[in-house]
Amino acid sequence: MASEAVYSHRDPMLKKRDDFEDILEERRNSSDLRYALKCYTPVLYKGLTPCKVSELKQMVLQSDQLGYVITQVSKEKGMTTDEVTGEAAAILEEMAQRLQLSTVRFFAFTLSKVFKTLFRSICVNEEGLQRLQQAIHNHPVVLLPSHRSYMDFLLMSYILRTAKSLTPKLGLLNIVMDPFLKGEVFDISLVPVSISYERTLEEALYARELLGVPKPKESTSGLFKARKILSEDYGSIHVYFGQPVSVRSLAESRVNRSQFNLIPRHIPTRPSEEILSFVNDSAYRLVRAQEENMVLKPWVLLAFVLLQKQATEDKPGTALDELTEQAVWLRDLSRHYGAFLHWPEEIYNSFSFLRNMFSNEFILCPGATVQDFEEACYLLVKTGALQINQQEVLITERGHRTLAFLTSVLDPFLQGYQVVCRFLCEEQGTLKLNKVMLNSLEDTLGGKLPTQKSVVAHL
Amino acid sequence: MKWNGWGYSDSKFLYNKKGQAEFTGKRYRLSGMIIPGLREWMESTFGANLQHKTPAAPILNSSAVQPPTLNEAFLKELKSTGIPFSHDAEDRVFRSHGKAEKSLLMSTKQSSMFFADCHNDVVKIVELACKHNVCLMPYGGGTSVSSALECPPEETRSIVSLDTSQMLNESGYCTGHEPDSMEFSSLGGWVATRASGMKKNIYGNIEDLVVHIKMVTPQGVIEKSCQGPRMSTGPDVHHFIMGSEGTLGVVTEVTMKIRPMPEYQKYGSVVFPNFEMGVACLREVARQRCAPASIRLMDNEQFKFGHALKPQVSSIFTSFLDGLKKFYITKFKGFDPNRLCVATLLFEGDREKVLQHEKQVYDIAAKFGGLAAGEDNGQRGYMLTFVIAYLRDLGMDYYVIGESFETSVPWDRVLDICRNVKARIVRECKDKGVQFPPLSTCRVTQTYDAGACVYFYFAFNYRGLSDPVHVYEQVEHAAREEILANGGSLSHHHGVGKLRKEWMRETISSVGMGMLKSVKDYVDPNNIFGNRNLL
Repeated sequence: MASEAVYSHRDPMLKKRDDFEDILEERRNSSDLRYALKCYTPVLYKGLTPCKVSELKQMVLQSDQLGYVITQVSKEKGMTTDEVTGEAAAILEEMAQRLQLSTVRFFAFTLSKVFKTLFRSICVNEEGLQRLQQAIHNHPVVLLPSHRSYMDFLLMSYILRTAKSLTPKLGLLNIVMDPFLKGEVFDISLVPVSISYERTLEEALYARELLGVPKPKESTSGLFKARKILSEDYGSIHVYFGQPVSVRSLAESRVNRSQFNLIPRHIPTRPSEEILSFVNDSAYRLVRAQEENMVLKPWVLLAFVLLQKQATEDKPGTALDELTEQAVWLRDLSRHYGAFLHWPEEIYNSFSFLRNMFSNEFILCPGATVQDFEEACYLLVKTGALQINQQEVLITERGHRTLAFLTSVLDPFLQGYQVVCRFLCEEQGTLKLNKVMLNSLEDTLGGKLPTQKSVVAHL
Repeated sequence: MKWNGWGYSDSKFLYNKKGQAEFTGKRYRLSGMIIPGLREWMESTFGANLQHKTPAAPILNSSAVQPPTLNEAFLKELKSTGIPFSHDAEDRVFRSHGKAEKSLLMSTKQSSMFFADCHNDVVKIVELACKHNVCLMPYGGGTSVSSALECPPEETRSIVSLDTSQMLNESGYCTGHEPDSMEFSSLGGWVATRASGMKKNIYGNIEDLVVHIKMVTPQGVIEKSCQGPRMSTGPDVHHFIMGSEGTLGVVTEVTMKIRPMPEYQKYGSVVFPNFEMGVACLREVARQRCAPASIRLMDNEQFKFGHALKPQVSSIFTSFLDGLKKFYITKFKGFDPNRLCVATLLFEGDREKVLQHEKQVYDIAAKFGGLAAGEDNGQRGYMLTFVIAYLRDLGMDYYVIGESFETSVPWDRVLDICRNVKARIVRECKDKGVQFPPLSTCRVTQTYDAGACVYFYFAFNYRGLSDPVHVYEQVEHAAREEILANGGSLSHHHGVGKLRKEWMRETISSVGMGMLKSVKDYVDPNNIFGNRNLL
């Protein structure tokens, strides 16, 4: 008999998520070199005693934990402890960080250029980044990025310019939680990072893999050797830094930490059933947390629709209208199911575009786009012409008359521009104008033309 | 003596008309002195404000005290023996609790008290209590901080307090046993709670000092037949008695080792750049088995606290010297004032040996970045531990509630436990809505071969909380959980009482509990000694 509800009915649509900012936009508007050379002042863990890499390596090599394992291995394999220590030192050399700011700056520069070519935007939730910085200051942080592309590693290092990323495999998660369970740190913050792609660089590789063609050895250099990639459009990437999860709060009332009281902590032991089950559950929760913040862009839903069509119908191809309608239906369904959609804001974008275009026709204060938009919405709602609910903007019954009137007022202006555009497209097909053309244009229209600059800008 | 606070009635901290802190009375070195730094320290540490004074505690109202449950037959027989007794409300309230924070806010249930003067008095009282089924609660110095002296609420029989304070009769020589509660605690109490003293490095803890014990139990009197220094005569029955916390009987006579008074005594202090180095130094001192009579390392917060308790200096020269020392340590040697910590030392013994010993210890300290900081600071450190309990009472006047607790822990866990427990206290207070961050501090007070004793203080400003006592209990509980989760013991020397009963089974295992229960069942089957401590 179920004594309590297993599922609590919370409307997934009500889940609040942070806004995104496109970090490439800034890169497009300023110097990459300046960016790469800017001052590096990372947030540090408050309990950190800074030390050199060589000191760190020494500490590891001389630690009790490693000493114990070296003794065991040398017994088992019949080698001397010096030999085993040598092996350990070699592994450490390979693993250890070699943080050199010059390398970081080099990548900051080159990756900026590459990303700008490959992607339309890389959107990051700034609030999430700030939460991350706060967490870094208070507790050791472990990043758990989703892993769907080789690009993940580059992205993580590009955005954060900090430690290596970690894939959430259970063994690794066990190791990561160990210091907390043994009382060596007060708490650990696990930050799920959801990286959503519209199109991955290695899509062809994936496709071949699915068909049975063996995968070539993984290497990020291999990626970039295929230079023709640079001329392709890979759409946008969304990187969402989720809410940090405290390992202490996960473990409370699930793990009895006193189990480590009676044995020396540096001796590696099999984790108990209790701990294995705890880590397993935590891993699932964390992957779910990652998934919840994966972003769906229009292209992704379109792909869904196309694939389904492919499966059910024989004839290839679908009418654009039908496709659009299906996509919109799917979008609304997904929204109700709590999907994290990133849909272009059509209305505002159109408004913004038109406003720019008409900036010489009407008195429009520069920089007041948002205010004007909101004022317009407010007035239209006030006069009952529009109905705005959470997800949609609807035209009311009596709104039709108002809107028809307003659109007919703007129509002549719009037509003027349409004529100019049609003329330019037919005549030249390029954006360059010369005086001769302008004169002939003037004659055709028989009226005053908007200035040269604005026409160029808005075509 | 105060009934609702620590120590003597004439000695207390208060803020005088000028708003300066003062310590009244004449008994202590600090008595009658102005402490200029204390006010600022209290204000910045707790957000306390001299304007915000808690309403004065009610004067003990005899009629407000619960009337006693009297066992007439018992009383009649006992009166005929001529042993002094009292039914006074004041006497009863005074003996119905110890000095744990919440104890001071509780009511009383005892019906009467009897003042035993000697072993035979106790024998008579215990016999009669068994005959009439009266609950007996031995009372020594009343300094328990584990709710051991509180009357169990579920006890329905008449409760009689057996006050042994008239039995103490120390003379001349020193035992060297100096717990912080020394002015008030009793020998019987030390035995009953497995007490530990400040100078145990030279003289040992109570289990090392005791040679012979005589105890009156409902089954009769227990005592060994000889005073050999060490015996292999089965499991040592003294260890049933030590730590029994008043559940088995009354300790009436104890034979203890004494030592000649030391020829020479010298205090000292060492400043370390940070707590980690200080602990490493103490570890090395323990490893080389060259610990002085006492060595205590306090963390940065306690160092600042100690600084705030400096009395006003009378001479300009002294304050100039102080300034010079401060400059030397912080600017010249580069110690960070927010990370440095201090160890106080006490050496005792023959003059020559003391000086050699001192050199050895300071040399070790130097290897860990320690700087000698003078005798004065050391001496003041020790003097302060006697008056700190009075400070808690001052805090209560200004909405500050606080407590200390202790543990023992193996060397490899010392740093982690200190950090984690202090952080846990801060987090719990924050979660429970305490407005101002709490004082959360610790010190390493004793060193052993296999570990150390760590003493924690925590205090917070409870203004704005609807149920401060509840919050306080939760924080204390969480702190103890954190201690246990980090490999610390349930108690080094305060004992279990009723306060820590819930963790006994996990501490000694079910078999261990069974062992203790069977001893209790045999020695006191009718639970005459019904204070319900431990089990």
